[in-house]
Amino acid sequence: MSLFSSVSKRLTRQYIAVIVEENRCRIRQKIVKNKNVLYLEEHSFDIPSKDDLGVEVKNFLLKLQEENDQTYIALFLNSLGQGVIPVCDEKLLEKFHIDQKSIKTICVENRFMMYATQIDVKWADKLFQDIGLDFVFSPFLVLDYFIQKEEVIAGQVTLNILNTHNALTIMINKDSHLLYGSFFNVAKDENLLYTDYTQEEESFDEIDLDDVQDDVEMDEIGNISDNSNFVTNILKEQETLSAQDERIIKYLSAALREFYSDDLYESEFIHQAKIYDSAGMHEGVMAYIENELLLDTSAVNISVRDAIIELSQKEVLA
Amino acid sequence: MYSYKAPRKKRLLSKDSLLWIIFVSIVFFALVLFGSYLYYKASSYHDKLSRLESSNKALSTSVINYEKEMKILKMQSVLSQEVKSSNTLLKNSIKNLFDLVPDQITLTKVVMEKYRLHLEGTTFTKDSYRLLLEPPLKSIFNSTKATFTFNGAIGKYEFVSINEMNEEAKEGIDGKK
Repeated sequence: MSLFSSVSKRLTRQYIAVIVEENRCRIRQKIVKNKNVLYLEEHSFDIPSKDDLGVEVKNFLLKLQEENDQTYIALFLNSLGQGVIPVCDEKLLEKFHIDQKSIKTICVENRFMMYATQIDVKWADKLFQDIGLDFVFSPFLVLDYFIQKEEVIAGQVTLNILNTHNALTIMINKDSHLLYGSFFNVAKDENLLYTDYTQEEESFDEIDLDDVQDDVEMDEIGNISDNSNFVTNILKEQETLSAQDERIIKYLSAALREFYSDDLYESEFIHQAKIYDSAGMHEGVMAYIENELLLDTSAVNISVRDAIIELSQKEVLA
Repeated sequence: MYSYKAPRKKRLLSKDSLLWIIFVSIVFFALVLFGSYLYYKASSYHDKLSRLESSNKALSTSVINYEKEMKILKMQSVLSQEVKSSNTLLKNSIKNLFDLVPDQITLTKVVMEKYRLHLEGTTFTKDSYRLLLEPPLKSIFNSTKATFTFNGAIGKYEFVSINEMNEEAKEGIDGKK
């Protein structure tokens, strides 16, 4: 261990995790010295828009940085221009209809490759240009951080869902290998990247189930999908689901349809669903996943801001 | 590196700490400089002192030598004074002695000591000696003894006169000095 890294580990550092939503900015502040947590606090601010943090947040973050030079600000990237592919090969991006020139890619342990558009990364830079920004973390990295903490059952395909206040991140994994991943903004109905959701109800019925290996099980899914409108309608009638919850169901269904139908992905039967919830998922949505998709569903409450701070610490001490 | 953005470079030290360290460094540097100057000065003085000490030692030795020389010179001076006065005294004594000796008596040997006078000489007659030389000798010395031997070859009496002072007269002479 070099003298520098030895000294470096003993410095008092302040980590700040920032999640910017449509009209809200959530901040977690953690001060650490020599692995001991000296201070931990959460803050929440109303902001004018997702593109403007407002004076209050700017002043708050600048003040925190003035108090401690060793301050690292990390942003949870929840903009639409991002995704993940199950291979770590930039040459295959074209196959996934992704323009290599306009994105930034990060390969994670040769298991999957996350990407974000240059526009989104620049958006993050511009958003923090007066404050300064150290890390921009993909929601896929955060979800993978939680998945890796769990015990993996060999051969089981798991639908992992990261539910945050304004976004839904989906990763379908077999063991630690990624099969499919997708990100949706559930605050607004604007996810029109790869799927025409307006045609969802009709197209969902058009899945070619013969292509799927497990015919019996996929038939069951087909039957479930036939009934999906019925269940959703019941929930709607009960007026228990908000518009955002409905979008969660819609995007989840679309993602699964894409996973099963698109030849780009190794579509395998999903055995279970695991929900990492930091925003409080509606019971109706849980019921939909459990009853309609017939998946053994479990949910855990997590803190995305904690995960971002943990990831920042790893990056700093790497 | 799993972030879309590289972290900003951080200062290891705060501005205040940096200023403080610079101030302490300057003070330390100034102290070292001043210390070096003092050390240089001290060693310079030390060298000067040792030079002066050795010079002082040499001078002391020289002074001792001069003192010894001066002592010798003083002694020589005293001695020369003594010799001079003794010589003067002797000269006077001899002159006085020769003034005492009449023409009829010829001295052949004179031994002058401090309290004793030994004279040898010739005279035509014993009376010449007894009348002309013995009385002044007697007035000076307490004891005057003379023995005469006739020398036919020269037709003169050879005499040996021994004149001595007694203890009182010796003391008197020493007391005068």
